[in-house]
Amino acid sequence: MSRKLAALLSLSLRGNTVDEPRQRPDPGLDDRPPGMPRWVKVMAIVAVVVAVLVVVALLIGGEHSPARHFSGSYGRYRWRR
Amino acid sequence: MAPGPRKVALTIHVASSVGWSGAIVAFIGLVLLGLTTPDAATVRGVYLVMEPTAWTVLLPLAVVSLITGIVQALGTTWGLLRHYWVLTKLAITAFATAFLLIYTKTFAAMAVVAADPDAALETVRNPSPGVHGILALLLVLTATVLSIFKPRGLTRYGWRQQREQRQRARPATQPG
Repeated sequence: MSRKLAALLSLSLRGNTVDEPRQRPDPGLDDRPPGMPRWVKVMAIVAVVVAVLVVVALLIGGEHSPARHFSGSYGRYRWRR
Repeated sequence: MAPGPRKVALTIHVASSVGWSGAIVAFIGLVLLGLTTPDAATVRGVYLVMEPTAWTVLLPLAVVSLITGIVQALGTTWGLLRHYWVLTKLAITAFATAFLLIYTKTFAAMAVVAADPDAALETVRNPSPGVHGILALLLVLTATVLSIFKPRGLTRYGWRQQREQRQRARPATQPG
């Protein structure tokens, strides 16, 4: 019997805790708070990178006002009605 | 929350969220039309119609989606702060709604330019709502994916709540 098969059998005997975390046999096992899932970390990194890019763009390009969204000179237009 | 009101709230939440996505796609379509059509009246019309449509369609759908999402979370066992996917969805929806509210200034600015008969057509054409629309669509679609897949992950608060519930339930379920 290969190690992989033994590991799979062992996992199935203990219960699939990956797919069914609410059906753990012993609730006392989770005495420590769970860590942050990988997908949350990935999304947080993406959000931070986007935020940094926006801040850099603001520092380089100036204020992010409506006038910034136009290519020409729009000083004569009033942006707030 | 009782099953009846819960399903009503869920229906309103799904309808408003899907409607919001559709409205964003419609805005992207409008921008594509505004950037490509040779007809001057159509170009000006595209940028004139965006501001009132944002106030009457986009923003109400966003606010309803946000409110019904909070109601849905608080009224069910999912909770608002217990699961990372619910928390992430809340952050995405709140951010997108706030950003949309700020962006209405840009819609107003574009309408002012479009209404000016002296403004050149190339001045009126503006890709900004298209770029922001694509980013908004990505955010809303991410929230949709989170709702459907509900990826695992308890927050520390959710873990504490779950542990307290188990501790309360244990004496009643143990034999003897």
